[in-house]
Amino acid sequence: MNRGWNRIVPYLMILPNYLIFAVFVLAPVLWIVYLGFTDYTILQPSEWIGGRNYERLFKDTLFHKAIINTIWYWIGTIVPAILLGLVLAALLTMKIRLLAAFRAFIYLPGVLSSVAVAMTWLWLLDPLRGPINGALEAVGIEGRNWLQNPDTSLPSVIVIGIWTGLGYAMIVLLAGIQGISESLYEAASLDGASGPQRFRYITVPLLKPILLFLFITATIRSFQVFDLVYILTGGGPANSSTTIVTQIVGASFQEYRMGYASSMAVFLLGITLIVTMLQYWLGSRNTTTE
Amino acid sequence: MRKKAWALTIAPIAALSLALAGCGGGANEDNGAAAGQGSGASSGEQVTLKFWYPTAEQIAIDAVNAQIDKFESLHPDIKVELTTIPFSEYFQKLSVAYSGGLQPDVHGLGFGQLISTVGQGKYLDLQPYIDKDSWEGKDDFFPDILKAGQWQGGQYGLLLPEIRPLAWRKDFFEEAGLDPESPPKTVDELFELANKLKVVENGKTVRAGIDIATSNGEQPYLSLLLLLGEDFYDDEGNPTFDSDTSIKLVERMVQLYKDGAIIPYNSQQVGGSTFTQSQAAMAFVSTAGAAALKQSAGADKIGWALPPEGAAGNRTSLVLGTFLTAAKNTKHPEEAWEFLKFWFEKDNVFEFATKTGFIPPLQSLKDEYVKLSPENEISFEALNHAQGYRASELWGINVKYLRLALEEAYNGVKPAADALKDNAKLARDEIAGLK
Repeated sequence: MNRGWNRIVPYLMILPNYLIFAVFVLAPVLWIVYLGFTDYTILQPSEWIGGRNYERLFKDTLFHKAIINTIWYWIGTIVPAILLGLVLAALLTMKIRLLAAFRAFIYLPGVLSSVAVAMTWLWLLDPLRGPINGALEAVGIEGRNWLQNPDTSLPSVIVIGIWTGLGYAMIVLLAGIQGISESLYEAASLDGASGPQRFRYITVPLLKPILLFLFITATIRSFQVFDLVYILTGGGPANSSTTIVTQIVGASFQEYRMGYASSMAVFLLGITLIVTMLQYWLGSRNTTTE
Repeated sequence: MRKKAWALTIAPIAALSLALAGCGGGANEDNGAAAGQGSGASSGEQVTLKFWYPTAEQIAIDAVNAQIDKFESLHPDIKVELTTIPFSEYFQKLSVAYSGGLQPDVHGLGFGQLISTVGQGKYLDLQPYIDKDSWEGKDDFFPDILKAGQWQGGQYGLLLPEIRPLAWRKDFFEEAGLDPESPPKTVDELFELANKLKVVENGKTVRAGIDIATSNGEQPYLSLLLLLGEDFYDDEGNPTFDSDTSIKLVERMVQLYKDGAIIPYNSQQVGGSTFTQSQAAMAFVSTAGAAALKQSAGADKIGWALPPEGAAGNRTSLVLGTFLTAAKNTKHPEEAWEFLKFWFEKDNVFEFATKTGFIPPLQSLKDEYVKLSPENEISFEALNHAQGYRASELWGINVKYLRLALEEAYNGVKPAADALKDNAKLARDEIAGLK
């Protein structure tokens, strides 16, 4: 009796969490997958239409543009944010004055409301009255309408994305660096390794698991980018900064085509899964071969 | 043992899923909307009407509450339960409520929201109630404003209108050496003055000649297109924004942009338009923003006029606003109609409109309304020749591609003609795919 009960108890312990996951995450996801095969418009019951939504998705040039923009945003924010985060984390392990203040200021953008961040940048980038154009013009560089120009709208959003993501990368990498044993650095110093050499041959290799974690979480977040884009540019001008989630929101709550929006959401889920698994496989493979 | 563990885990989940599936649906499809079907109040029982209104502004919330208090004092057997929701989230929440069968009895709706969803049969047809009561408000309503809430012979909403006549900055006119009391009288003159009124410093436009949003800019475009006697889609919802008239109009607007007479901005940005920020000399401005404009710029600096004449003499103003309507499946259709009727009685709609910036849509209120402020005369006159969006479930698709065409044209991605034609074709293809 005891043995049987002891086997059941662990499952009972995780059951509440599993039920919550099943009801509030798994069931809605399965429902969305189903809706992707219907013409649901939220005000009317859904009707099964098979793969028509996915056929439209493959022909939808606006959605293709959104995919390309999302990929640019992903690459454009992850790589600089992690690289700069790594450099900053390494610098912030040094014993300098006001260390805690520097850490807090760098991390702060990541914990602020993204709406507040976007509103602030709207003011900063105002073409007529914004301080950024003012500062540029003071040094003889012509200011631009950064957010309303198709050439600069997405790069502007990417820069702001790096700014908000930098702190998170820095904090996670800092925790990783602080977990590396000092004796390794001491041994390397004794062998005559310089600072950059210690960074390259000790810090970076030992941070690989954390870098993998950061890549995966930052990838998932960057694929879901919406609030910054929505407030800063609305996805324009001329869809130059539209992203997958912007298209999902447009299809669902502006055009009321929930079925089509669901198919877009399933597509997003699919590519996020593929990219994440690819990263995990590559990252795990590199770790095990060492 | 392993199988038992699986069974113990899967069984509750399966049971829960079945229970949840059984709870789904629930929207009552019975049509209880025929006029004359009574409900609780007619038998003396207390009736509670759920009322949703799209606003986050305290002035509007207070005005709505004042209306409700007055209604409840006159109808002790009807209680109104108000929920206010910011406009940006409003329709999402309302449509979720409808899909779950939890919709309010009476609610507000944005112009585009009503005309694009009226065909889905969710709103109460008020016509039978109007006919049964021989409602005098029907004849007092401005015909174009009453028509805005009609679809296939039924009346599905009553509009609290806000209209877009022409506003101009008299001080900017003076600075440019123009007569401050003389706004443009024709569309051609409007374009001509826009170039004269722009202010360019160090190659940068610091004041636009005219306020035209270059992102999400369909409304100023439509304000101009209506003057030329056309619309951007027809009664069947097919796009018409690739017509020759529309192409020529957009080419002129793009030229204004290239000449620096327009400052590019997104109409949905929080900071407001270039005109409200004193960065433009003319605009098709909503009368709902008149009070704030007068406060920021000074009442004596702003002039109001009917839109300039188009080629065929049209002076049609774009009218938008908020509809009040009732849910088709409301359990209290009679009480819902009583509430709507009360709202649009002369004294009540006048008081509400003047507090919130809407225009009272009743012709008999003209004298009283004009006394409040000189520009009100223009607003009232504009209601005589006003047009909003046509009722069509394809409105959203047309707006999407029109916006894209305008943005592509302004930003030089494509020439105006190509942008409009290509996007009209995309809209037609998408519409064909839906059918």
